[in-house]
Amino acid sequence: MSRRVLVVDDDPDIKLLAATALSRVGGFDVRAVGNGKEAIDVASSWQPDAILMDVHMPGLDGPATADRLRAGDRTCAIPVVFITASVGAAEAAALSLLPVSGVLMKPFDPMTLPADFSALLEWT
Amino acid sequence: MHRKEVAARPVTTAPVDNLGYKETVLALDSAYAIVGTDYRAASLLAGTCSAGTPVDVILPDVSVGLFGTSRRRADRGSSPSFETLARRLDGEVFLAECTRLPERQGYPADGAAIRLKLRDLSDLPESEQLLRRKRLREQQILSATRNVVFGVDLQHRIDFANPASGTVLGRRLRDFAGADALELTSLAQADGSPFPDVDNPVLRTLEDGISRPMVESSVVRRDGTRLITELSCSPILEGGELAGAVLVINDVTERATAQRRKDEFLSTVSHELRSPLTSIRGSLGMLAGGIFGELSPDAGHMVDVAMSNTHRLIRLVNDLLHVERLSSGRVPMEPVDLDLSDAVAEIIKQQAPAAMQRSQRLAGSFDSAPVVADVHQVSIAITNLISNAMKFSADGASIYVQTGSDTEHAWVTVRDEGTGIPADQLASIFERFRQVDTADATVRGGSGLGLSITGHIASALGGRVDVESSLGVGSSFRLVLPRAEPNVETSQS
Repeated sequence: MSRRVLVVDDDPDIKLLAATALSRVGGFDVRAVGNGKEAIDVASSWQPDAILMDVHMPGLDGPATADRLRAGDRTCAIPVVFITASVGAAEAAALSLLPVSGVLMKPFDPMTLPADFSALLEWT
Repeated sequence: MHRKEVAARPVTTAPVDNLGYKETVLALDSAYAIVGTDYRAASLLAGTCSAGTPVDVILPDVSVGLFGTSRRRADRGSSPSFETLARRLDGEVFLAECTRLPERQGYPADGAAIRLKLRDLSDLPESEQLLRRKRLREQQILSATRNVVFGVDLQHRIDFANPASGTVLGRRLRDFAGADALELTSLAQADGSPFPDVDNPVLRTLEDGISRPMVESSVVRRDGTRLITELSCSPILEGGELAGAVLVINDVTERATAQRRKDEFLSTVSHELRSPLTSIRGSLGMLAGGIFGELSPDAGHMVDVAMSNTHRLIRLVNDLLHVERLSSGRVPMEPVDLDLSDAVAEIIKQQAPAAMQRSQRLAGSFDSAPVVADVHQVSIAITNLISNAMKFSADGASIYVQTGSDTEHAWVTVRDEGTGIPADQLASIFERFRQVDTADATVRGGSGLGLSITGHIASALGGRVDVESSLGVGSSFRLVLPRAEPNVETSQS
């Protein structure tokens, strides 16, 4: 059975691209949502194996959503990978301090995204 | 000396005499016009001034503000005086001393707002007059500057403040006398946080007597607003002994604010550009990758063109952000021990496929060049130099890379046999978007930011980039960094 991946991004085009790459190229079972609140709901009910989440989102942003996921009984064990358009080494360093599995940069290569994502999660 | 005061006479009827009076009293109205004089004026001024003559005619160099300042002091009972060059009615210029007298009714004219005693100093010895004129000139220079100029003693107490100090800091000049320059200005770092004592430029200069030019700093005006400033400290020596310092404070708030706004703007724009680029790059990537079926050769070619241009845009956005961060000092550096020869070897390996495509030869000699620097930034700096050399060389050309060091410096030299750079453009090639030929940008690719980035990285690491070039012969770029201190333990092992 293929692994379940939840994509969270407020930009609908990027959400579609990431989801398509992860399903078509990576062969994962993918669902995609557009904000942190939905992410928490779907994560709780659908129980994905990992979450790929945008950092900058209106309302509940990536780090805040990750905090709530960690605080939830049914979601605390789900690993999170951030994806961000901020290139600064300082931002990357700040994000790497958060208890997440890794950070990917935008723009991403859809052909290698699934492999990069799996590598961060140490999936084989 | 004529201490005795005599009843006023109308100015217009004062006789011109030749009694050689060296002192007179002028009465001015609130518009600084002469409304009366005492009986000595005609002698001293070599003529009779008609009522309503502006005081500028006699005292052309005195700004009216000075009368106002001296008035407050006159009212407090002190009798302030200043020297200036005055002009007699026959045109002769002479050194004079002006004293603002306290308010008094009746003399030498009713309703006068200002009474001014004018003393002719032209009988002083020639050398003394020359000295005083020179001092007047120096005062004018100090008054003209729009920067704060303080003289401070060894305890950083102010013993001199120029007029602009008051304007810039929103204070009266009397606030300055004897005040602690550091406390009065709340001198701090540019971001407002206090200087650690060991980094405080004023304290350091008062300790070691060494000039510290253009230190980024900030001061606080009397109304509480903070100004971003450049502070220069120079020692004052007396007989070879350190006696104090001159502080020159230049308000650069406007410049600093404009810079910050530009940074924010660029950062936002870059971020906003990156989102659509992510979508474009992603869609094209999946099309090219055949996710939605094999493309015809023509369609594939078109997608490749779109892809490579998208990559170019992404590089441009990244370079733009990088150069902005470098120039505002916001790129974190992690200095580690490294040898430039190792970094170069790694970069040549990365560039080899591109060189092979154009039958270019990357050759060189690699002597040890130890530095303490950020690996990532150093690699970017060297990569830019090598890829530039390749870009501006013909197919099949050779590029020579050499590393080495002396006791103080370590360097990488990249030499090409390319087109060369005209001498008049050598100085500007480190500016952003500067390519010698505007067609270069389209023909050779590149953002026009590479050299700018390399230059910024070099200076952030305490080094520089030297360049030599002759048209038709080629160019040679040398990244020079401070050599790492020899590590005794390592060299023994």
